[in-house]
Amino acid sequence: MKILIADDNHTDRLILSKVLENLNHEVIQAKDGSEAIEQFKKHAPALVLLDVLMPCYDGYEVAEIIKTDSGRAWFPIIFLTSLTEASDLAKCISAGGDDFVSKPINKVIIKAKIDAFERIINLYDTVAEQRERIQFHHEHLVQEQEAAKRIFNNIAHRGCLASDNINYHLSPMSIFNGDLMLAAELPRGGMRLFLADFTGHGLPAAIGAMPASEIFYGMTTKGFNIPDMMVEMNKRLYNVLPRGIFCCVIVIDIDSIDELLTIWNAGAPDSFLIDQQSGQVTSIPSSHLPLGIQSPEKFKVTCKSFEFTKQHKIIAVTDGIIEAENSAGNMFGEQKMVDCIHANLNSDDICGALLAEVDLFCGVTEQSDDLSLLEVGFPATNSDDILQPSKGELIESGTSDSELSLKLRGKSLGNFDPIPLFMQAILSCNELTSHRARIFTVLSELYNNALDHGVLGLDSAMKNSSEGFADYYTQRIQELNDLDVGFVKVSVDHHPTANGGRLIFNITDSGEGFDVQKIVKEGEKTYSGRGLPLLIKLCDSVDYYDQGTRVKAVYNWDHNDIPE
Amino acid sequence: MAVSSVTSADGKSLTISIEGRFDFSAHQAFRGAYEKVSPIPLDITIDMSGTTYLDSSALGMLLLLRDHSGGDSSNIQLKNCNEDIKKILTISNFEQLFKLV
Repeated sequence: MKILIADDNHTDRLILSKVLENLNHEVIQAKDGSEAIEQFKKHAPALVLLDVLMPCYDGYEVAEIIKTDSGRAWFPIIFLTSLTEASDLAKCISAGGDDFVSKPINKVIIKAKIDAFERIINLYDTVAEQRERIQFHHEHLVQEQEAAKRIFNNIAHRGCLASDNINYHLSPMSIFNGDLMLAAELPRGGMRLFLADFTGHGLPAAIGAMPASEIFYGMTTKGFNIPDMMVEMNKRLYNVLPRGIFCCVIVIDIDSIDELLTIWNAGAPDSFLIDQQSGQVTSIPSSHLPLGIQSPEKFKVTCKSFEFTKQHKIIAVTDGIIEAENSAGNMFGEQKMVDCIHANLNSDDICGALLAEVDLFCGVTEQSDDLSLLEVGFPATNSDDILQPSKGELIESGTSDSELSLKLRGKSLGNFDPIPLFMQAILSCNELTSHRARIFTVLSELYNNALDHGVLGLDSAMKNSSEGFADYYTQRIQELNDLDVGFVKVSVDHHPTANGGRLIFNITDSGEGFDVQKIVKEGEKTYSGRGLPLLIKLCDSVDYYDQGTRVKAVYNWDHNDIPE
Repeated sequence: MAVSSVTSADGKSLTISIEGRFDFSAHQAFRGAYEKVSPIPLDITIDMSGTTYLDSSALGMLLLLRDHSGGDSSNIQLKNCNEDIKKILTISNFEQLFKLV
C-alpha cells in the first residue's frame, strides 16, 4: 500500500518510514504541509499519516484539502499527534481525520491501525468496482431498451392515432409497462382502435405485443371483422404466451358510413360511451376472458354495437388509471374516474382532464407513466377524401377477367364473413388498389342488406332510435347464432373493358324480398335503411329483381379516372 | 403478505390462505404452497378472507395453479373474496375458470 507521511520532525518521520517499509508498504515523505499536498497530488497514495502541527499548512488544513481533492467519496487520513487534550483529539476527527495515533509512535499500534484501514480501503474499492460494473450494465440495458423500443415502434406503430378525432395518453416506454395502443383506418372508411394491457412488465409483454400488432394491422387492412381478428389473435397468443401471462383488450370499430360503433371488451375496465348532447354515459363492461387464456376451440367473440355519431365519444382505459396510487397507498379508483368523466362531458379533451385529475390525486406527475387512456370522437374524414390515387405502372394483372361466386347456407352465414375473401380476390388485380374503399363499401353494403333484411328479416326502421339501434344489433347477433336455414349467394364478375374493367355484383338471398316500387315511392328516408343512396352514388347501376331478392350492381372503372 | 397452506388429512384437498396484498411479491410463496404437495389434491381452495387486494400478476399466478392442477379438469374455489377482489375477478371473467364462493 502506498502511504504518505507528513511530519516536520525529521527523526519521527524516518522512524515511522522504516517501520512501514518493514511492513512492505511504499512510503512517500513530506516535511511540511505544502509538500504534503504536492506529494499527495503527485503520488496518489492510498492512506495519509498527518502530523497535526506543521509549518506552511497545519495538519487540519492539509486534511481538508486532501479530502476535497481526492475525488473519492472516502479518503483515509490518520493524524499523528503529541497533543493529549480530549478536545484536540476530537478536533482531528472533526477536521476530516478518520483516526489518530499518539506520539511517540508505538509500532504495534500503528501496524494494527494500518491493517484495519487496509481492510476498509479494500472494502471501499470492491464496492466502487461493483458499483461501476452495475452502472455499466445499467447503461447497457438502457441502450438495449432504447434499441428494442425503436424496433418495437416500427412493428407496433401507432397507425392513425394522430387523427384529429383522437386524444390519447401512452407513456413513451409504455411497451415495457405492457400497454399497447393501435389504430388503423377501416377499408370502407372509419377506423379500428385497439387498446391492450399485457400482464407483467418488461420484455415478455413487449414480445407478446408483436404478434398482436402484426395481426391487427394485417387483418384490419384486409377487411376482417372484429370476431375473426380476435379469434386469430387469441389463437396466436394462446400458443406463444406462457400460462400466467395474458392480455386484456378493448377493440373498437367506428363505421362512419352506418354511424355504428362495435366494441369488444375482454378483461379491461369498463369503457364509456358518451352522448354529449343528452349527457348520457353508457358503461361497456368486460364480457370475456382476456386473450391467451382460453383454448382456440372454446374461444368465442360476441361484440356489442351502439349508435355513434358526431355527438358521441368513446373512452377506453387500462387498469393503470384505476390502480394509480397516492403516497398514502390509496388508489384513484373507478368512481373518481366516472365522476371526472361526468364533470367534463362536453370537454374537447376528456383524456387531458382525467390525467390532470390523476396527477392531482397522486401528487406526483410521474404516476401517469403507467396508465393508458384513449378518447375517440367521430372520424372527421370520409374514406373517399383520404384515398390516395395509386401510383406506379398500370399492368393488366391478377383477376381482371374472372368470376367468383360463393353460396353460404344456414350456420355458415353466422360463422363466415365472405367479404375479406372476395376483397382479396378482387384486389389481386393491382389496378383496383385505389378503388379499394369504394369496392369494399359496395360489397359489404350489398351483402349486409341481403343478410340482415333478406335472410334475417330485420327492419331497418328499428335503427331510428338509440335503444332500437342497440336492439337491432343484439337481435342480429342472436338470430345469426340460431340460424340454420336460408342462404346468400354472392357472385362477382370482372370483365376487362377498353380502358379498365367492369365489376358486376350479383347477390341473391333466401328472404321474402320487399316491395321495390313502394320503397322507391316512399322516397329517400325509407330508402336510406338499405344504404341505397350511397350504393347508387358509388355504382353505375343498382337494380333489384325477383321481388327484391336479387340485386345486381355494376361498377365500372377506368385507368384514367382514379377516384378522388 | 403471507401465504400459508393446509392439506386435509386424507390428502384430497388443499387450502391456501393469503394475507395482505396478493401481488408479485407472493409469487415464490404461492407457488411453493402447491408445488410442495404431491400428488396435487383434486380440490383446491384459495381462502382470501385475509387478502386485501389482488393485481393482474396474481391473476396470472391463479392461472398457473389452474394449469398445474389439471387445467380444464381442475376444481379450484376462491373463498371469502372482498368486494374489490370480486370486481377484479369479474372484470377478467375469471368466474368462468374458478368457482367464486
